[in-house]
Amino acid sequence: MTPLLTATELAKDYQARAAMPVPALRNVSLAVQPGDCVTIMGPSGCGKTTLLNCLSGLDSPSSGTVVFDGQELTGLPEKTLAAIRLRRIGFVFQHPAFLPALSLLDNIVLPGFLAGSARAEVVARARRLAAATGIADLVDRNISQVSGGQLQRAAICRALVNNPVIVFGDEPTGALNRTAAAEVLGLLSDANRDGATIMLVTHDVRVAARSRRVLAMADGAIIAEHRFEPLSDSAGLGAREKQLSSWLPGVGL
Amino acid sequence: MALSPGDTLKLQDGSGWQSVRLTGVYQDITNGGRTAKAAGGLSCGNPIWVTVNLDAAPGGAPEQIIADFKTAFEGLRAYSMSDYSAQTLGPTLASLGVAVRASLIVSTVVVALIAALFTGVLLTRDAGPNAVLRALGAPGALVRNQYLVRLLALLSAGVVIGAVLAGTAGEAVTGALMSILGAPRISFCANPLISYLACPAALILAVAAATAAAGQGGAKPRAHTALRTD
Ligand SMILES: Nc1ncnc2c1ncn2[C@@H]1O[C@H](COP(=O)(O)OP(=O)(O)O)[C@@H](O)[C@H]1O
Ligand SMILES: [Mg+2]
Repeated sequence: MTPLLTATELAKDYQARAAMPVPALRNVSLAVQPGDCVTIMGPSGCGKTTLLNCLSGLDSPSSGTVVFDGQELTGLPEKTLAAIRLRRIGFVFQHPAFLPALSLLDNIVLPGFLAGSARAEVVARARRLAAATGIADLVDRNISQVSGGQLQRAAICRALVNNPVIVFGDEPTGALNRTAAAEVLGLLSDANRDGATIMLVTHDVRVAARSRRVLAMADGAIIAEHRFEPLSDSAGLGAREKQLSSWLPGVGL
Repeated sequence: MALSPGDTLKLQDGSGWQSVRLTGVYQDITNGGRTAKAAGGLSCGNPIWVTVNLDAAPGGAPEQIIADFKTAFEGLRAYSMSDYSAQTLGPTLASLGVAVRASLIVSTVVVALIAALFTGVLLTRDAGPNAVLRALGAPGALVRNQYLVRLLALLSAGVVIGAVLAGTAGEAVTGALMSILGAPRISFCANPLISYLACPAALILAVAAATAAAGQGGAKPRAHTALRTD
């Protein structure tokens, strides 16, 4: 099967000050199959957010190529990248990023509106997603009137509202308590079962245990990968969490 | 001069006192005051000059009439109205024209500067929401055009209010200001093409260009950078 997303020898240097480039990614290569569910783990500052940004066309790598669905993203003009992000890619940012002038519902509807979908249709989809994440009663509120966890659930609804091919989540459950995190993950699992490819950054082994592959990152590079056997009665989520907890220290995390 | 048209004025000439009826009071910038004019009546035998105003019949060719008069009467000075006013008020008219053009240019430049500054302030204020819009994949033009729409709406309101004020209170206000220069009664002869088309068009172009230029810079930073708070 041809991969949905391929990164080849990605490198990214941030030019914070002209004289001192900060190397955030070094020689990262990976391939993600359609329908896959991948998590990225690693210490803070190791380049996870940078990698997601480069893979999703939010940022461009300093060198290397990203091919998404047969199309090379690197070198595309921002206009084309924006259209791809809008219609084919969902993104849950590390920090809640909403338009303060809009209600929660309108924030969720926004990508559909920007893509020119019929409003009634998008609103219906947004309400369905909101109900699935347990924020159906809050959608008419202003974003200043809901908690951080509720915002993050809305962010997931927004990421899914245009039925993206792939959803990137940058620590989507980082701000959530256990139940809320479980609901959010359930929603992403549903999207994954419906065919969406999922790529998450997380520090939580419970989140990683629900994926199929775990990539370990350190210092801007992918240093190891763990693939899970399919879930079975003998090897459930609990067993996966134990596996991960012993695997991570072994690779240095 | 507490006289108005219709009043009688006693004037002394070579043959004694005469009554004349005023036909008009004119402001006379060239003398920094006013001149009264009377029609006919004065038998002063030898006036310095007499001014006769003639209207050409519709379709008449003024240049031809002037030429005819010049050949028919020796010593007659005949001018077209525009030459006449240029001769009597020439420098005043010219400097008034310069002032009008200068104020047009200055106000257009100031409006453009204000629009650019205003857009800059709005872009700074909206950096967060704009980064969200761009990260989600909103077209850059949509992000930029918000400001174009807002500023042009503001400008249109300003132009309409300005035109109405100029049309109502404008003459009185300008007259009050110009009375310092000895021209207390100014009446506007607005060329509608210039006042209601060319000037607003110049302002709209200036604001649109300034807003677009200012918005260009503001839309540059990559979408994700403003999303970071850590
Ligand atoms: N815009 C930026 N300018 C300069 N350096 C940055 C920028 N963003 C991230 N970095 C640096 O790049 C490295 C990787 O950052 P990031 O991808 O955010 O890590 P993570 O998400 O794994 O915590 C860090 O050292 C960080 O300080
Ligand atoms: Mg990060």
